[in-house]
Amino acid sequence: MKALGIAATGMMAQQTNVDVISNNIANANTTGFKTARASFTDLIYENLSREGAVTAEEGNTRPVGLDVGLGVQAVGTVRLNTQGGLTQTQNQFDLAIDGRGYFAVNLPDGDQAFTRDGSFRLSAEGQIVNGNGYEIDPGIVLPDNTTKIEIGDTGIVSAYVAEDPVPVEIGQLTLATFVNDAGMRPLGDNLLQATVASGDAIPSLPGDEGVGILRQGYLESSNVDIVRQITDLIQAQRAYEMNSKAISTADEMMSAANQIK
Amino acid sequence: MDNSTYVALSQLTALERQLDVTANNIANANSTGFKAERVLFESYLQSDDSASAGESTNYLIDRGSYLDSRSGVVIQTGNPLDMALSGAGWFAYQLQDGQQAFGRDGNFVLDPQGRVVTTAGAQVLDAGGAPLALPPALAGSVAISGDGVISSEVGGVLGQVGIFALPDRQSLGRAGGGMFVTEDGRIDLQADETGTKVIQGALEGSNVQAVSEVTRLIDIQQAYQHALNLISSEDDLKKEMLSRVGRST
Repeated sequence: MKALGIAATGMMAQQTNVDVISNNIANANTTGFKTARASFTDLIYENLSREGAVTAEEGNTRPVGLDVGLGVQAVGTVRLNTQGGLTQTQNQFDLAIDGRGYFAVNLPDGDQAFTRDGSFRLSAEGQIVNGNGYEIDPGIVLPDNTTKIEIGDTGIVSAYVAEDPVPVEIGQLTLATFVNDAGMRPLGDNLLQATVASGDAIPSLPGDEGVGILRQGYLESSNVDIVRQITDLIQAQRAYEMNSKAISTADEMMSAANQIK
Repeated sequence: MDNSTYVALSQLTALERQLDVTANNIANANSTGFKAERVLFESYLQSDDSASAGESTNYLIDRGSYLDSRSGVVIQTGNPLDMALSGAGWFAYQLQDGQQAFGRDGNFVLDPQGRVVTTAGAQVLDAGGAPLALPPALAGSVAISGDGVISSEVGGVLGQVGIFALPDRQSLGRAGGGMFVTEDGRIDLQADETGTKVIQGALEGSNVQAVSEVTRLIDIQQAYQHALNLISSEDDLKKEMLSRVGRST
Protein backbone atom coordinates (compact mmCIF):
# COMPACT_ATOMS: atom_id res chain seq x y z
CA MET A 1 0.00 0.00 0.00
CA LYS A 2 1.70 3.17 -1.21
CA ALA A 3 -0.98 5.47 0.13
CA LEU A 4 0.91 6.11 3.37
CA GLY A 5 4.01 7.36 1.57
CA ILE A 6 1.99 9.34 -0.96
CA ALA A 7 -0.02 11.11 1.73
CA ALA A 8 3.23 11.80 3.62
CA THR A 9 4.63 13.67 0.59
CA GLY A 10 1.38 15.66 0.58
CA MET A 11 1.80 16.60 4.22
CA MET A 12 5.42 17.62 3.69
CA ALA A 13 4.38 19.76 0.72
CA GLN A 14 1.73 21.52 2.79
CA GLN A 15 4.28 22.12 5.55
CA THR A 16 6.54 23.82 3.01
CA ASN A 17 3.53 25.82 1.87
CA VAL A 18 2.76 26.97 5.42
CA ASP A 19 6.45 27.86 5.96
CA VAL A 20 6.48 30.05 2.85
CA ILE A 21 3.16 31.69 3.72
CA SER A 22 4.21 32.45 7.30
CA ASN A 23 7.45 34.00 6.05
CA ASN A 24 5.36 36.23 3.76
CA ILE A 25 3.12 37.27 6.65
CA ALA A 26 6.13 37.88 8.91
CA ASN A 27 7.60 40.19 6.25
CA ALA A 28 4.40 42.09 5.53
CA ASN A 29 6.08 45.28 6.77
CA THR A 30 9.57 44.66 5.39
CA THR A 31 10.76 47.34 2.96
CA GLY A 32 11.05 46.05 -0.59
CA PHE A 33 10.02 42.48 0.32
CA LYS A 34 8.47 40.40 -2.47
CA THR A 35 5.83 37.75 -1.78
CA ALA A 36 6.94 34.20 -2.47
CA ARG A 37 4.66 31.37 -3.50
CA ALA A 38 5.55 27.70 -3.25
CA SER A 39 4.91 25.86 -6.48
CA PHE A 40 4.07 22.16 -6.48
CA THR A 41 3.96 19.44 -9.11
CA ASP A 42 3.11 15.76 -9.12
CA LEU A 43 5.90 13.21 -8.76
CA ILE A 44 6.60 10.48 -11.30
CA TYR A 45 3.95 7.90 -12.08
CA GLU A 46 4.11 4.19 -11.78
CA ASN A 47 2.84 2.95 -15.10
CA LEU A 48 1.15 -0.32 -14.15
CA SER A 49 -0.24 -0.91 -17.60
CA ARG A 50 0.71 1.10 -20.61
CA GLU A 51 -1.73 3.16 -22.66
CA GLY A 52 -1.94 1.92 -26.24
CA ALA A 53 -0.54 -1.52 -25.50
CA VAL A 54 -1.78 -4.17 -27.92
CA THR A 55 -4.42 -6.33 -26.25
CA ALA A 56 -5.39 -8.71 -29.07
CA GLU A 57 -3.97 -10.04 -32.29
CA GLU A 58 -6.47 -8.00 -34.28
CA GLY A 59 -4.50 -4.94 -33.26
CA ASN A 60 -6.84 -3.75 -30.54
CA THR A 61 -5.08 -1.46 -28.17
CA ARG A 62 -5.71 -0.58 -24.58
CA PRO A 63 -7.54 2.74 -24.54
CA VAL A 64 -6.38 3.72 -21.08
CA GLY A 65 -3.41 2.79 -18.98
CA LEU A 66 -3.18 2.40 -15.26
CA ASP A 67 -1.06 5.18 -13.79
CA VAL A 68 -0.53 5.43 -10.07
CA GLY A 69 1.20 8.63 -9.01
CA LEU A 70 3.69 8.69 -6.19
CA GLY A 71 2.79 12.00 -4.58
CA VAL A 72 3.78 15.61 -4.80
CA GLN A 73 6.94 17.69 -4.56
CA ALA A 74 7.73 21.35 -4.15
CA VAL A 75 9.59 22.50 -7.26
CA GLY A 76 10.35 26.03 -6.20
CA THR A 77 9.32 29.22 -4.58
CA VAL A 78 8.44 31.87 -7.12
CA ARG A 79 8.81 35.49 -6.05
CA LEU A 80 6.02 37.73 -7.17
CA ASN A 81 7.90 40.68 -8.65
CA THR A 82 5.13 43.23 -8.71
CA GLN A 83 5.57 46.78 -7.51
CA GLY A 84 5.03 47.33 -3.81
CA GLY A 85 3.26 50.48 -2.63
CA LEU A 86 5.34 53.64 -2.17
CA THR A 87 5.34 55.16 1.30
CA GLN A 88 6.44 58.73 1.82
CA THR A 89 9.10 59.10 4.51
CA GLN A 90 10.59 62.52 3.65
CA ASN A 91 14.01 61.18 4.56
CA GLN A 92 16.40 62.45 1.87
CA PHE A 93 18.35 59.17 1.83
CA ASP A 94 15.25 57.02 1.31
CA LEU A 95 14.86 55.87 -2.29
CA ALA A 96 12.13 53.81 -3.89
CA ILE A 97 12.40 52.17 -7.30
CA ASP A 98 9.24 52.77 -9.29
CA GLY A 99 9.47 49.99 -11.90
CA ARG A 100 12.01 47.23 -12.57
CA GLY A 101 15.55 47.13 -11.25
CA TYR A 102 17.68 46.63 -8.15
CA PHE A 103 20.27 48.68 -6.30
CA ALA A 104 23.66 46.98 -6.15
CA VAL A 105 25.63 46.93 -2.89
CA ASN A 106 29.14 45.61 -2.19
CA LEU A 107 29.27 42.90 0.45
CA PRO A 108 32.27 42.84 2.84
CA ASP A 109 33.54 39.63 1.13
CA GLY A 110 33.78 41.47 -2.19
CA ASP A 111 30.67 39.96 -3.79
CA GLN A 112 27.82 42.04 -5.02
CA ALA A 113 24.26 41.75 -3.76
CA PHE A 114 21.09 43.37 -5.01
CA THR A 115 18.20 44.93 -3.18
CA ARG A 116 15.04 46.91 -3.65
CA ASP A 117 15.25 48.24 -0.12
CA GLY A 118 16.28 51.86 -0.64
CA SER A 119 16.58 52.96 2.99
CA PHE A 120 20.14 54.27 2.74
CA ARG A 121 22.24 56.10 5.33
CA LEU A 122 25.59 57.76 5.59
CA SER A 123 28.70 56.06 6.86
CA ALA A 124 31.26 57.83 9.06
CA GLU A 125 33.28 58.50 5.88
CA GLY A 126 30.33 60.13 4.13
CA GLN A 127 29.60 57.16 1.83
CA ILE A 128 26.03 56.20 1.00
CA VAL A 129 25.47 52.77 2.58
CA ASN A 130 22.47 50.50 3.21
CA GLY A 131 21.10 49.52 6.62
CA ASN A 132 23.84 46.91 7.12
CA GLY A 133 26.58 49.38 6.28
CA TYR A 134 27.29 47.92 2.83
CA GLU A 135 28.33 50.57 0.35
CA ILE A 136 26.15 51.21 -2.67
CA ASP A 137 27.77 50.41 -6.02
CA PRO A 138 28.95 52.63 -7.76
CA GLY A 139 29.95 54.33 -4.53
CA ILE A 140 28.94 57.91 -3.80
CA VAL A 141 30.76 60.01 -1.23
CA LEU A 142 29.26 63.22 0.04
CA PRO A 143 31.53 66.26 0.23
CA ASP A 144 32.18 67.75 3.69
CA ASN A 145 29.64 70.26 4.93
CA THR A 146 26.85 68.89 2.74
CA THR A 147 23.58 70.36 3.96
CA LYS A 148 21.17 68.55 1.67
CA ILE A 149 21.25 66.10 -1.22
CA GLU A 150 18.88 65.78 -4.11
CA ILE A 151 18.41 62.66 -6.18
CA GLY A 152 16.61 62.97 -9.50
CA ASP A 153 14.30 60.48 -11.20
CA THR A 154 17.19 59.29 -13.35
CA GLY A 155 19.58 58.79 -10.45
CA ILE A 156 21.73 61.93 -10.64
CA VAL A 157 22.85 62.84 -7.11
CA SER A 158 23.51 66.51 -6.37
CA ALA A 159 24.68 67.99 -3.10
CA TYR A 160 24.25 71.44 -1.60
CA VAL A 161 27.54 72.24 0.11
CA ALA A 162 27.76 74.80 2.92
CA GLU A 163 26.10 78.09 2.00
CA ASP A 164 26.41 77.63 -1.78
CA PRO A 165 22.93 77.92 -3.31
CA VAL A 166 23.99 76.02 -6.46
CA PRO A 167 24.11 72.23 -6.07
CA VAL A 168 27.10 70.23 -7.29
CA GLU A 169 26.65 66.93 -9.10
CA ILE A 170 28.46 64.24 -7.13
CA GLY A 171 27.46 60.99 -8.80
CA GLN A 172 25.02 58.85 -10.69
CA LEU A 173 23.06 55.97 -9.14
CA THR A 174 22.62 52.95 -11.38
CA LEU A 175 20.22 50.05 -11.29
CA ALA A 176 20.75 46.42 -12.24
CA THR A 177 18.11 44.37 -14.04
CA PHE A 178 17.92 40.62 -14.57
CA VAL A 179 16.42 38.43 -17.24
CA ASN A 180 14.89 36.11 -14.68
CA ASP A 181 14.25 38.01 -11.45
CA ALA A 182 12.62 34.93 -9.95
CA GLY A 183 15.92 33.05 -10.25
CA MET A 184 17.80 35.29 -7.79
CA ARG A 185 18.81 33.78 -4.48
CA PRO A 186 17.60 35.52 -1.34
CA LEU A 187 20.37 36.14 1.21
CA GLY A 188 18.24 37.64 3.97
CA ASP A 189 18.69 41.27 5.06
CA ASN A 190 16.58 42.23 2.03
CA LEU A 191 19.47 41.22 -0.23
CA LEU A 192 19.39 39.01 -3.31
CA GLN A 193 22.25 37.43 -5.19
CA ALA A 194 22.63 36.77 -8.91
CA THR A 195 22.71 33.09 -9.89
CA VAL A 196 23.11 31.06 -13.06
CA ALA A 197 19.31 30.93 -13.27
CA SER A 198 18.83 34.69 -13.01
CA GLY A 199 21.60 35.51 -15.48
CA ASP A 200 24.19 38.23 -14.95
CA ALA A 201 23.21 41.69 -13.79
CA ILE A 202 22.48 44.03 -16.69
CA PRO A 203 23.68 47.50 -15.66
CA SER A 204 21.29 50.24 -16.62
CA LEU A 205 20.30 53.76 -15.65
CA PRO A 206 17.06 54.66 -13.93
CA GLY A 207 14.57 55.81 -16.53
CA ASP A 208 16.01 53.62 -19.32
CA GLU A 209 13.50 51.67 -21.37
CA GLY A 210 12.00 48.91 -19.20
CA VAL A 211 13.83 50.17 -16.08
CA GLY A 212 12.19 51.95 -13.17
CA ILE A 213 12.78 55.50 -12.00
CA LEU A 214 13.92 56.62 -8.54
CA ARG A 215 11.77 58.49 -6.07
CA GLN A 216 13.59 60.31 -3.32
CA GLY A 217 11.90 60.47 0.07
CA TYR A 218 9.88 57.31 -0.51
CA LEU A 219 10.29 53.65 0.42
CA GLU A 220 8.78 50.68 -1.35
CA SER A 221 6.61 48.64 1.01
CA SER A 222 6.29 44.88 0.69
CA ASN A 223 3.83 43.54 -1.87
CA VAL A 224 2.35 41.02 0.58
CA ASP A 225 -1.42 40.86 0.37
CA ILE A 226 -2.38 39.79 3.88
CA VAL A 227 -5.94 38.67 3.06
CA ARG A 228 -4.56 36.51 0.29
CA GLN A 229 -1.95 34.98 2.59
CA ILE A 230 -4.52 34.17 5.27
CA THR A 231 -6.84 32.45 2.79
CA ASP A 232 -3.87 30.51 1.41
CA LEU A 233 -3.02 29.51 4.97
CA ILE A 234 -6.54 28.19 5.54
CA GLN A 235 -6.31 26.23 2.30
CA ALA A 236 -2.94 24.77 3.24
CA GLN A 237 -4.25 23.68 6.62
CA ARG A 238 -7.27 21.95 5.09
CA ALA A 239 -5.10 20.21 2.51
CA TYR A 240 -2.84 19.03 5.35
CA GLU A 241 -5.86 17.62 7.17
CA MET A 242 -7.05 15.85 4.02
CA ASN A 243 -3.67 14.15 3.67
CA SER A 244 -3.76 13.01 7.27
CA LYS A 245 -7.23 11.60 6.56
CA ALA A 246 -5.73 9.54 3.73
CA ILE A 247 -3.07 8.25 6.14
CA SER A 248 -5.61 7.27 8.79
CA THR A 249 -7.78 5.56 6.14
CA ALA A 250 -4.81 3.52 4.93
CA ASP A 251 -3.91 2.74 8.52
CA GLU A 252 -7.41 1.56 9.40
CA MET A 253 -7.59 -0.57 6.26
CA MET A 254 -4.32 -2.28 7.07
CA SER A 255 -5.33 -2.85 10.65
CA ALA A 256 -8.65 -4.35 9.46
CA ALA A 257 -6.72 -6.64 7.11
CA ASN A 258 -4.60 -7.77 10.04
CA GLN A 259 -7.68 -8.69 12.01
CA ILE A 260 -9.46 -10.99 9.57
CA LYS A 261 -7.75 -14.06 10.96
CA MET B 1 -12.92 -25.34 -5.59
CA ASP B 2 -14.61 -22.38 -4.04
CA ASN B 3 -13.63 -19.04 -5.39
CA SER B 4 -15.20 -16.62 -3.01
CA THR B 5 -11.98 -15.86 -1.13
CA TYR B 6 -10.29 -15.00 -4.41
CA VAL B 7 -13.19 -12.86 -5.57
CA ALA B 8 -12.91 -10.84 -2.40
CA LEU B 9 -9.15 -10.74 -2.73
CA SER B 10 -9.43 -9.32 -6.26
CA GLN B 11 -11.54 -6.54 -4.84
CA LEU B 12 -9.08 -5.86 -2.02
CA THR B 13 -6.18 -5.50 -4.46
CA ALA B 14 -8.16 -3.14 -6.66
CA LEU B 15 -9.27 -1.08 -3.68
CA GLU B 16 -5.72 -0.70 -2.40
CA ARG B 17 -4.73 0.65 -5.76
CA GLN B 18 -7.69 3.00 -5.75
CA LEU B 19 -6.59 4.23 -2.34
CA ASP B 20 -3.11 4.95 -3.76
CA VAL B 21 -4.62 6.92 -6.64
CA THR B 22 -6.90 8.85 -4.29
CA ALA B 23 -4.02 9.60 -1.90
CA ASN B 24 -2.06 10.95 -4.87
CA ASN B 25 -4.97 13.20 -5.83
CA ILE B 26 -5.18 14.53 -2.29
CA ALA B 27 -1.41 15.06 -2.10
CA ASN B 28 -1.68 17.16 -5.26
CA ALA B 29 -4.60 19.28 -4.07
CA ASN B 30 -2.37 22.37 -4.41
CA SER B 31 -0.32 21.43 -7.51
CA THR B 32 -0.66 23.92 -10.35
CA GLY B 33 -2.59 22.53 -13.34
CA PHE B 34 -2.92 19.08 -11.78
CA LYS B 35 -5.69 16.82 -13.12
CA ALA B 36 -7.15 14.20 -10.82
CA GLU B 37 -6.90 10.53 -11.77
CA ARG B 38 -9.75 8.04 -11.45
CA VAL B 39 -9.53 4.27 -11.41
CA LEU B 40 -11.69 2.29 -13.79
CA PHE B 41 -13.06 -0.99 -12.47
CA GLU B 42 -14.28 -3.82 -14.58
CA SER B 43 -15.60 -7.23 -13.79
CA TYR B 44 -13.64 -10.06 -15.21
CA LEU B 45 -15.68 -13.10 -16.05
CA GLN B 46 -14.31 -16.49 -15.29
CA SER B 47 -16.43 -19.26 -16.72
CA ASP B 48 -16.33 -22.42 -14.72
CA ASP B 49 -16.69 -25.58 -16.79
CA SER B 50 -17.57 -27.79 -13.87
CA ALA B 51 -20.40 -25.54 -12.78
CA SER B 52 -23.87 -25.89 -14.19
CA ALA B 53 -24.84 -23.65 -17.08
CA GLY B 54 -25.39 -20.02 -16.23
CA GLU B 55 -23.06 -19.97 -13.28
CA SER B 56 -19.84 -18.12 -13.54
CA THR B 57 -17.58 -16.18 -11.27
CA ASN B 58 -16.97 -12.47 -11.51
CA TYR B 59 -13.62 -11.16 -10.43
CA LEU B 60 -12.90 -7.49 -10.16
CA ILE B 61 -9.95 -5.94 -11.94
CA ASP B 62 -8.84 -2.36 -12.19
CA ARG B 63 -8.58 -2.06 -15.91
CA GLY B 64 -7.06 1.34 -16.08
CA SER B 65 -7.17 4.85 -14.80
CA TYR B 66 -8.51 7.88 -16.57
CA LEU B 67 -8.18 11.58 -16.27
CA ASP B 68 -10.68 13.88 -14.69
CA SER B 69 -10.48 16.61 -17.30
CA ARG B 70 -12.52 19.28 -15.56
CA SER B 71 -10.78 22.62 -15.27
CA GLY B 72 -9.27 23.65 -11.97
CA VAL B 73 -10.10 26.90 -10.26
CA VAL B 74 -8.32 29.98 -11.60
CA ILE B 75 -6.09 31.59 -8.95
CA GLN B 76 -4.97 35.19 -9.42
CA THR B 77 -1.24 35.62 -8.77
CA GLY B 78 -0.43 38.95 -10.43
CA ASN B 79 2.78 37.60 -12.00
CA PRO B 80 2.78 38.90 -15.61
CA LEU B 81 4.08 35.62 -17.06
CA ASP B 82 1.63 33.35 -15.24
CA MET B 83 -1.01 32.00 -17.58
CA ALA B 84 -4.17 30.05 -16.88
CA LEU B 85 -6.10 28.35 -19.66
CA SER B 86 -9.85 28.70 -19.74
CA GLY B 87 -11.20 26.04 -22.09
CA ALA B 88 -10.14 22.72 -23.53
CA GLY B 89 -6.72 23.69 -24.96
CA TRP B 90 -3.34 22.65 -23.57
CA PHE B 91 0.18 24.08 -23.44
CA ALA B 92 2.96 22.07 -25.05
CA TYR B 93 6.46 21.79 -23.58
CA GLN B 94 9.84 20.46 -24.55
CA LEU B 95 11.41 18.59 -21.65
CA GLN B 96 15.14 18.59 -20.90
CA ASP B 97 15.60 15.17 -22.51
CA GLY B 98 14.09 16.41 -25.79
CA GLN B 99 10.70 14.80 -25.23
CA GLN B 100 7.64 16.85 -25.97
CA ALA B 101 4.73 16.90 -23.58
CA PHE B 102 1.34 18.44 -22.99
CA GLY B 103 0.31 20.10 -19.74
CA ARG B 104 -1.79 22.85 -18.20
CA ASP B 105 0.81 24.27 -15.80
CA GLY B 106 1.15 27.97 -16.65
CA ASN B 107 3.58 28.96 -13.91
CA PHE B 108 6.21 30.39 -16.27
CA VAL B 109 9.51 32.20 -15.72
CA LEU B 110 12.31 33.31 -18.04
CA ASP B 111 15.62 31.50 -18.08
CA PRO B 112 18.85 33.57 -18.52
CA GLN B 113 18.61 33.16 -22.30
CA GLY B 114 15.15 34.69 -22.32
CA ARG B 115 13.33 31.42 -23.04
CA VAL B 116 10.00 30.91 -21.34
CA VAL B 117 10.22 27.86 -19.06
CA THR B 118 8.15 26.26 -16.33
CA THR B 119 9.42 26.32 -12.75
CA ALA B 120 10.60 22.74 -13.29
CA GLY B 121 12.64 23.85 -16.33
CA ALA B 122 10.58 22.58 -19.28
CA GLN B 123 10.56 24.92 -22.27
CA VAL B 124 7.22 26.26 -23.41
CA LEU B 125 6.40 25.91 -27.12
CA ASP B 126 4.94 28.75 -29.17
CA ALA B 127 2.11 28.53 -31.67
CA GLY B 128 4.51 27.21 -34.34
CA GLY B 129 5.88 24.46 -32.11
CA ALA B 130 9.28 26.11 -31.46
CA PRO B 131 10.53 27.05 -27.97
CA LEU B 132 9.06 30.40 -26.97
CA ALA B 133 11.54 33.17 -26.16
CA LEU B 134 11.07 36.83 -25.24
CA PRO B 135 13.47 39.78 -25.27
CA PRO B 136 14.59 39.85 -21.61
CA ALA B 137 14.33 43.62 -21.21
CA LEU B 138 10.65 43.63 -22.10
CA ALA B 139 9.54 40.47 -20.36
CA GLY B 140 8.56 42.22 -17.14
CA SER B 141 5.99 44.41 -18.80
CA VAL B 142 4.28 42.17 -21.33
CA ALA B 143 0.58 41.95 -22.02
CA ILE B 144 -0.89 38.63 -23.07
CA SER B 145 -4.11 38.60 -25.05
CA GLY B 146 -6.83 35.99 -24.81
CA ASP B 147 -5.46 34.03 -27.77
CA GLY B 148 -1.95 33.91 -26.30
CA VAL B 149 -0.32 36.75 -28.28
CA ILE B 150 2.40 38.32 -26.13
CA SER B 151 3.09 41.97 -26.78
CA SER B 152 4.57 44.96 -25.05
CA GLU B 153 3.94 48.67 -25.41
CA VAL B 154 7.38 49.41 -26.80
CA GLY B 155 8.26 46.18 -28.58
CA GLY B 156 5.02 45.34 -30.38
CA VAL B 157 4.17 41.66 -30.79
CA LEU B 158 6.87 39.48 -29.23
CA GLY B 159 5.45 36.01 -29.75
CA GLN B 160 2.49 33.78 -29.21
CA VAL B 161 2.20 31.03 -26.67
CA GLY B 162 0.97 27.81 -28.26
CA ILE B 163 -2.45 26.46 -27.29
CA PHE B 164 -2.99 23.01 -28.69
CA ALA B 165 -5.77 20.48 -28.92
CA LEU B 166 -5.13 17.20 -27.16
CA PRO B 167 -5.51 14.46 -29.79
CA ASP B 168 -6.47 11.58 -27.53
CA ARG B 169 -6.27 12.51 -23.91
CA GLN B 170 -6.73 9.08 -22.45
CA SER B 171 -3.85 7.52 -24.35
CA LEU B 172 -1.23 9.88 -22.93
CA GLY B 173 0.95 8.65 -20.12
CA ARG B 174 1.65 10.81 -17.09
CA ALA B 175 5.28 11.74 -16.58
CA GLY B 176 5.08 13.70 -13.34
CA GLY B 177 5.54 17.45 -13.15
CA GLY B 178 2.06 17.83 -14.62
CA MET B 179 3.33 16.51 -17.97
CA PHE B 180 1.52 14.17 -20.33
CA VAL B 181 3.68 12.30 -22.80
CA THR B 182 3.26 9.83 -25.63
CA GLU B 183 5.22 6.63 -25.88
CA ASP B 184 7.66 7.86 -28.54
CA GLY B 185 8.08 11.30 -27.00
CA ARG B 186 6.78 13.17 -30.06
CA ILE B 187 3.46 14.87 -29.94
CA ASP B 188 1.23 15.85 -32.78
CA LEU B 189 0.71 19.60 -32.42
CA GLN B 190 -2.64 20.76 -33.65
CA ALA B 191 -3.82 24.24 -32.85
CA ASP B 192 -6.77 24.33 -30.51
CA GLU B 193 -9.97 25.41 -32.26
CA THR B 194 -12.35 25.47 -29.34
CA GLY B 195 -11.64 29.08 -28.46
CA THR B 196 -9.53 28.48 -25.36
CA LYS B 197 -8.64 31.74 -23.64
CA VAL B 198 -5.41 32.61 -21.89
CA ILE B 199 -5.83 34.51 -18.63
CA GLN B 200 -2.73 36.53 -17.78
CA GLY B 201 -1.53 36.85 -14.20
CA ALA B 202 -3.39 33.78 -13.03
CA LEU B 203 -2.75 30.08 -12.61
CA GLU B 204 -5.04 27.11 -13.02
CA GLY B 205 -5.17 25.35 -9.68
CA SER B 206 -5.56 21.64 -9.18
CA ASN B 207 -8.99 20.25 -10.10
CA VAL B 208 -9.00 17.94 -7.08
CA GLN B 209 -12.21 18.41 -5.12
CA ALA B 210 -11.70 17.95 -1.44
CA VAL B 211 -15.19 16.72 -0.60
CA SER B 212 -15.36 14.09 -3.31
CA GLU B 213 -11.85 12.78 -2.53
CA VAL B 214 -12.58 12.44 1.17
CA THR B 215 -15.93 10.74 0.54
CA ARG B 216 -14.10 8.44 -1.85
CA LEU B 217 -11.72 7.58 0.98
CA ILE B 218 -14.70 6.61 3.13
CA ASP B 219 -16.20 4.54 0.29
CA ILE B 220 -12.92 2.72 -0.24
CA GLN B 221 -12.58 1.96 3.43
CA GLN B 222 -16.16 0.65 3.68
CA ALA B 223 -15.83 -1.52 0.58
CA TYR B 224 -12.52 -2.83 1.88
CA GLN B 225 -14.14 -3.74 5.17
CA HIS B 226 -16.96 -5.55 3.35
CA ALA B 227 -14.52 -7.58 1.29
CA LEU B 228 -12.58 -8.45 4.45
CA ASN B 229 -15.82 -9.54 6.13
CA LEU B 230 -16.55 -11.78 3.16
CA ILE B 231 -13.15 -13.42 3.54
CA SER B 232 -13.53 -13.94 7.27
CA SER B 233 -17.04 -15.40 6.98
CA GLU B 234 -15.77 -17.68 4.26
CA ASP B 235 -12.99 -18.65 6.65
CA ASP B 236 -15.53 -19.37 9.39
CA LEU B 237 -17.53 -21.56 7.01
CA LYS B 238 -14.46 -23.55 6.09
CA LYS B 239 -13.53 -23.98 9.72
CA GLU B 240 -17.04 -25.17 10.47
CA MET B 241 -16.96 -27.54 7.52
CA LEU B 242 -13.59 -29.01 8.56
CA SER B 243 -14.67 -29.55 12.14
CA ARG B 244 -17.89 -31.26 11.07
CA VAL B 245 -16.19 -33.42 8.47
CA GLY B 246 -13.64 -34.30 11.14
CA ARG B 247 -16.40 -35.42 13.53
CA SER B 248 -18.15 -37.69 11.06
CA THR B 249 -15.11 -39.85 10.40
